[in-house]
Amino acid sequence: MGTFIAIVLAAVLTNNFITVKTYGICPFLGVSKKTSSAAGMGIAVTLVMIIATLVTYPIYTYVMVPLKIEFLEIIFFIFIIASLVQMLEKIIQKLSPSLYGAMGIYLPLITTNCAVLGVTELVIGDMSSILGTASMNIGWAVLYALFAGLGFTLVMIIMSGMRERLNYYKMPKAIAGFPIAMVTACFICMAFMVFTYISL
Amino acid sequence: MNKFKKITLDGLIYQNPTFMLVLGTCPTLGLISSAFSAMGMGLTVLVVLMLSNIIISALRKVIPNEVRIPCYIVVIATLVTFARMFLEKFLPDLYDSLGGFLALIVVNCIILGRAEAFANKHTVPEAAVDGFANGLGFTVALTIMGVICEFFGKGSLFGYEIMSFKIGMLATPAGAFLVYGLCIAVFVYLIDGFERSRRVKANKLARENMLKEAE
Amino acid sequence: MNGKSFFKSTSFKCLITLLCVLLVSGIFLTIMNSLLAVTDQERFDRAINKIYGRPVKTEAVAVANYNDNATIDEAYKIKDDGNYLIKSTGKGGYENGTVTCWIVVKINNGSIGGIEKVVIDSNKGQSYIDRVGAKALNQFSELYKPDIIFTPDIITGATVMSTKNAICNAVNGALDFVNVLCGNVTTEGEKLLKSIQTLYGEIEIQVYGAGDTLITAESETVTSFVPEPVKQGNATINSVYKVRFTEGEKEVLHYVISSTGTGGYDNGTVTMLTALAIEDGAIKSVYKVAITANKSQSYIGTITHLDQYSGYPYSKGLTFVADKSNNAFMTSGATMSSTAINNAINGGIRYVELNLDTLNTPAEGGEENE
Repeated sequence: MGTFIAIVLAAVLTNNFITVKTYGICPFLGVSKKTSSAAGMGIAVTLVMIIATLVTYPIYTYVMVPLKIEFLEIIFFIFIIASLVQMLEKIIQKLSPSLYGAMGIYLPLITTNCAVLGVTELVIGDMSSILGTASMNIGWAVLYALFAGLGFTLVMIIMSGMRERLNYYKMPKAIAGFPIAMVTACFICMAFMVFTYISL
Repeated sequence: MNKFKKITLDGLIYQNPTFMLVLGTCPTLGLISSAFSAMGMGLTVLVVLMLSNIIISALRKVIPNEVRIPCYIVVIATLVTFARMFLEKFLPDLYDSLGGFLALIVVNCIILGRAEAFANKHTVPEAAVDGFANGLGFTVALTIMGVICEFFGKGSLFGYEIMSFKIGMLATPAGAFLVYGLCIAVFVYLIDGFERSRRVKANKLARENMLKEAE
Repeated sequence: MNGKSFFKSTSFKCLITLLCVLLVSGIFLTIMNSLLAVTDQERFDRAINKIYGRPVKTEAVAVANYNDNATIDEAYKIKDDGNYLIKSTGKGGYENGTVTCWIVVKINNGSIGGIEKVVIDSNKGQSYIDRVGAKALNQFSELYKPDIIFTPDIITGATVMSTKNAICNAVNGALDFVNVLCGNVTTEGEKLLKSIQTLYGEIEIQVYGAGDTLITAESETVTSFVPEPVKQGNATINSVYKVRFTEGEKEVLHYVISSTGTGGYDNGTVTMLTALAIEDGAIKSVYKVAITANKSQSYIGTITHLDQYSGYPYSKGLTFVADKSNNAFMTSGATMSSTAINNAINGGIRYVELNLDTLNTPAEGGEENE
């Protein structure tokens, strides 16, 4: 139970992917102009993160480590993620055209999203600061991916809400767009700094 | 020769990947709290980008269009893995300071972006120059921001302590966002001013020429 | 689609290209991996060099624990200069957390010559560890002197006291460990025997602690008949031990008291060792006294009258009082120190006098009131 809470708190708040780790910034800045698209992107990323971890973690632990080919991890992981995204796109298109209409456009962008490769690399690395004495297994890995994805979605939605407001203001050309989005992100990060005071 | 000058200027300034296109933001924001790691990341990307551009440009006639993206990804992933091995062996300090962002160079949009937008349509020398220019643009941008963040955030430069005054917030992701945003604003403002004055000058020249002809 | 046309189709070409790219990449990386692989030894050397600041060769040393407040995790002898590098985890941090430090202990002529460096490796639950700066850690090097025990109050720096405590424990543990490695460690037993032996010169003695347990040079810990220091008049009784030896045919029993007398120069103190001869369960005489320590008594070196106490017969209520007229139980020029000495001895005699029954009871009698 303690490990569960530690993972949830770390993934969502104290080690949030966007505000602390700065993973997945491209979609965070690119697809956060509207709340609906931000939420769609967030959920799509979460989904891919879970499935990617579910596939890469066992492959790494039970195939690559025994075969001593850990050094090929980057190629394997990015290839697995790319194929997964392709497959997912096809499956969603077949099963639910309406869902595809809502989410499909974000899927191709996810291949080159740091957050997905980031989470698969993180869970095979040293997680002792979060896990404490518990040892890593597939369950914790997927749980971490799920809540890291939800943390990502949370910040995406907060950001999109603020950016929707910013649309009402006229700004000089130099500040409009990315600069003001980044300053907004700065405030969100500062707010999230409060969570560093959580200690378990 | 003019062609190379244009490629270089585009990569460095007019289409600077960091300030103008805002690509490769994850490592930028994650590493500019220290000038050393920011510059290290920039140089690593420069080398990977140049090599990937060269390889992809050389293979552009061999790789079928349908599988080009997977092929590019494999090439880039190979180069990144190689860079990681190299750094771990010969530059362990840099390897440690880059942390997880080293593996994430694979999904750095700049590299795949240049491969897709430039290298697969141009000759090897052009692709090499383009890779170098973009990599340099990235490196310079990261180093500038790294220096700002480290100087004000940690009171040091490249690890050497300079002053005891520091604004710790600037060495956190929040500070990185702020500095990055303000740097883009300043850069865009300067480029705009420069462009406008150039246009004004060109217009004046054209008008004088017209007047002369009219006479 | 028949077999032949498949081999000419685009999909086949795509497949082949992709496989070729993958194969070439895989082969290239495998070769590079075997060329560039970082061995465990290299990784370890790097960690060491980072702490040491320069490349050195090390030799692992078997670890052991000699200090309850710290755990020695790893220990290495630096081949280049003979120094020791100790990884030690100190207990007693904030909320019972720990701090793990690397400590470079300098070795001079076979014994500890100082602390070269203390580097914090990791911690458990010490949220404010970041506030322990290099300045605080340098103090370990600056303040080191032989037999020092670091306590958190002598290390300055703004952080939680308990975190500093854990760091001090780690350093103390490392020092204890290196002391044992150097072979010139004094166990508690040896220290005690050495100090008591000063009273007896060449005589072979046996010292007993609480519960009449024999104390030898190998004893890691010693417990005296006084569980913890108690006040007795103008003195503090630190410990009482029994000493037995044979004089000719006779079995002799002595009580040796360590007591600290107050009232010295500049409010200082003098710690004395007093041996009382016991016969038939009663105090017979003062056998001998010796000074073991003092606080701010600059003239302690001039004290010459200590043999006046030797063999002084005991009578109930015996109290030594300095007499200026004939220089009895005092050394002129060190009157204040003499007062402290008398206070210490008188306190010791009084304590034994009052607790004679408890002290005389054999082990089974249950004087172990721990």
